[in-house]
Amino acid sequence: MEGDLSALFVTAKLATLTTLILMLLGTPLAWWLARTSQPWRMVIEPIVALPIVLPPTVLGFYLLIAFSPDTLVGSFWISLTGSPLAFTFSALVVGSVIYSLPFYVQPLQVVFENVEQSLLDAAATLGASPVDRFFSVIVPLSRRGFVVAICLAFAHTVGEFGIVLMIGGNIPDETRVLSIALFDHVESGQYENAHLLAGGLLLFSFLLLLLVYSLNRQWQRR
Amino acid sequence: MKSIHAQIDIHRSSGFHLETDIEIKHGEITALYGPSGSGKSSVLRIIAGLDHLSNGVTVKTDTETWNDSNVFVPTHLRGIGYVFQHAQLFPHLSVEGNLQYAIARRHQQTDIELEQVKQWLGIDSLLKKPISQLSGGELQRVSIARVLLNGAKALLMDEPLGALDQQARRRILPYIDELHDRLDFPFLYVSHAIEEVTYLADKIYLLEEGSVRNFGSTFEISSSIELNAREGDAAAAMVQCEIVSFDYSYNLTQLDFEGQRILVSGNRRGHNRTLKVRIPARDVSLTLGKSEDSSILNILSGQVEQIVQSPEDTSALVRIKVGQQVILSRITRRSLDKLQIKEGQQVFAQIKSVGLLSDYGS
Repeated sequence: MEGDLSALFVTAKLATLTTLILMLLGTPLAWWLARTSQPWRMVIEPIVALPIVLPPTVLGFYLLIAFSPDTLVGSFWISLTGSPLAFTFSALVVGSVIYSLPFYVQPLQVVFENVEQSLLDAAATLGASPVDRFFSVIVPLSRRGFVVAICLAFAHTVGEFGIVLMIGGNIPDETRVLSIALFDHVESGQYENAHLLAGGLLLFSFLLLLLVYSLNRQWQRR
Repeated sequence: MKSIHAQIDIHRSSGFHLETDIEIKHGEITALYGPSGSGKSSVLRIIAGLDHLSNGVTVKTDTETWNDSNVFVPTHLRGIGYVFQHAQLFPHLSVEGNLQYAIARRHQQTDIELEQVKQWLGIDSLLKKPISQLSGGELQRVSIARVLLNGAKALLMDEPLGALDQQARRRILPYIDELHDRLDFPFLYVSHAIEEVTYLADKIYLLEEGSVRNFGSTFEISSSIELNAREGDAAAAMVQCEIVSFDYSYNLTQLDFEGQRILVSGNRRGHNRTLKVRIPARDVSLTLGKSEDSSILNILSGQVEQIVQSPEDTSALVRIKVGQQVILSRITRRSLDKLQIKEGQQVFAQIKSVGLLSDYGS
């Protein structure tokens, strides 16, 4: 039971951190994808979408290799922090950001594509700088997309399993998340505990989606 | 800001070549007039910095350079007010929210206050409404209010009446005309409606297929054959008259036009001594002798300066010089031949109707 609480805490920390990082990195990426006419877009867009179709273990496998100390990424991390990246909480954050990227970027890209350029032109003539235009025009016009993107990124991170197993392992208080704890309970025949976690995750996911849909409905009516 | 000077020489990938040299001075309305596709909006967007081009574009004001091969000042730092064809109000804000948006981002100090502007444009009752509940005319009045409250140093208008019906147009045009008296900065008005342009503007650039075909004062350009030949029934001349007196018993104002008399309905005396008058070519008929027993009030004598006709048309356009100014007459080619009207000949022009700015659209 205590282990489950710790797993809940690790999961919540991971999902929150991942979502925050995605808001910082994924928002400009979604805007770029929505607006650019550069040919690069043709390549970047499918790369962003890859985690939707790839088995998480494939992604996890390549990340694990990339994290090993003799690669560029791995050695850079060691020079930065003094310890290897694989099987740490940080590794989970990196993996989750990549794994949940399309769930954050895609809904946002769709609403960004619908923001009329002429409104941004009007804001510019009224004296709004690019950053000001982003917060005073783009964000309020895209708030539906933001809510959907944030909820999906959070929920999807909570729900990941395969990638965690590959790059995080099962270290209590460090990389042991709820889905892993659930797996452990089933493996060792503790069905009561398994029910508690499975039911909890089911309820949480349902409530989150309920929130998304009802907010959507409410804004549509306006 | 005293003036804006835009020199543009660009080739679009579509093959379109835009080559213009336009100067907008303060204290007058400069109009960019031409058919759609002539490049008017491109010029406006380049001046506003909404299109970023580094080659072939030089945009300068009297004090700074906005755009040349080395410099590009982004739109939000240019201090211009821009009125779009479709008002472009922010849908996530109320009317008041839109106005506050502009007040919070003023380009410069201005003594124009919300109180004044909402009274003047008649938008007081709209302030709390969401944008989605406004009519086309209301949207455009709010967008003009938004620009005024923004403390613009120059004003650009891109077909501001283009999306409106006749009635809304009639309501807004006087406001724009009044702006002219209130504000002393460069003001560029873009339109493909000749009536709007001739009523509002002091100077006109006639743009065709990407280049300036003609430039001059409204009086020169509006009466030019080049501009009117294509206009058919919309052909008209603008003339400037002086107000002489008002006759209460007949409700007519007497104007002096190059030493001759013109009567217009209603009391037109105001703070200006002069009045711009629009004379549609189709309402001007020609006679060789002055008929004293006509019911037509306004008969002017003048000299035929130019006749434009083509065999496939029924009518011809005749340019008649009256003193220093010019009026136009559209008559059938049959009448032209019957009266044997020639260039240089003295004629009398009978004018059936005279349009004034305040009657625009009626």
